[in-house]
Amino acid sequence: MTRTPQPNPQPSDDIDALLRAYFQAELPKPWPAFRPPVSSARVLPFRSSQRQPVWARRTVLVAAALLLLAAGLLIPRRTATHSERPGGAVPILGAPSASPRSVPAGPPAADEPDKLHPQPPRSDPKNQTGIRLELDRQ
Amino acid sequence: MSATPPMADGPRLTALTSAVATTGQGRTDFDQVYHRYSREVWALAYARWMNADTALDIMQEAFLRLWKKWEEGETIVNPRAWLLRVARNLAEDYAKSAFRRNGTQSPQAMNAVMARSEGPLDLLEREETFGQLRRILQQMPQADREILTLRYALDYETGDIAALLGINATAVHMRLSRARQRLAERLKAQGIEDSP
Repeated sequence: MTRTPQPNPQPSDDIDALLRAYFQAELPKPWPAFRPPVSSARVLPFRSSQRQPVWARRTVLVAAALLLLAAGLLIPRRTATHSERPGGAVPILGAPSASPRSVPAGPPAADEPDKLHPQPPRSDPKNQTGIRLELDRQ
Repeated sequence: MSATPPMADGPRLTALTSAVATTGQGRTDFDQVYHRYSREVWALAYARWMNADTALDIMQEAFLRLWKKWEEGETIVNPRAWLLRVARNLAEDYAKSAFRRNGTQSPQAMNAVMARSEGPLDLLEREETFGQLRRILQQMPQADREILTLRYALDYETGDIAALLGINATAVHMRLSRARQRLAERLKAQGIEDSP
């Protein structure tokens, strides 16, 4: 049988009391409660803590879809009327139906084509609208 | 104040669904883990730095990390061992951290650490005695400080300390006895013999 050595009781009484007083004074009182972090990784930043009912979410979804549909129908119509308005868009250069351009008076810009001395058609296949038609008529 | 003696098998912190993790039974389980082991974690951190506030910071950081693991759904079979290991690592890392170098505790907070409702002379004498005791404790091996903290701060018995530190009960007894003897000699040399 093994005996565990017992500490000498004589000097340890005062030391026990001193150590107990010291460590008990060091122990935080009251003991703090655990507070989990407020921002949880699982909660997305745009999601509110109180979730809306299903019908409310669906109503918002339908309203948003209708708004999108209405905007999709209205915007092309507005664009078409805007382009038909006289002076609204830049006409084709030299075309008979061309209306005078609303440009400020002054010398033509360097990159602006000269109306008095039309240039021969360019070889650029993309530029086939105005000048080519004018030459064909002549 | 005596803490609940540790059990051989603590509660298992298992993977929980996100719904359970924030409220209900899951939170109750976590609170139970906190209630049971937070003082032990504090005691080990305190034994490393001999500073109650630093130990509290380390303890809270350890539990925040456990909370994070818990939220992620990780299974921690032995949260006690996990917490003690993390607390030891945090206590060692604390030496290198900017937090320690710069210091974040306001003077008011530091002054309030030892504040007690006693007379100024009693308080002064007590603080002086405790200051000398703290300096002596700081010169002792960390293992001895751990045993002393668990014994006197948490009122743990020898068997509880042995189970927590994973050492023999006889070794705990021997070290406790030697630590007390060494303390008595040093305190006597400094003229402190009576308890405050």
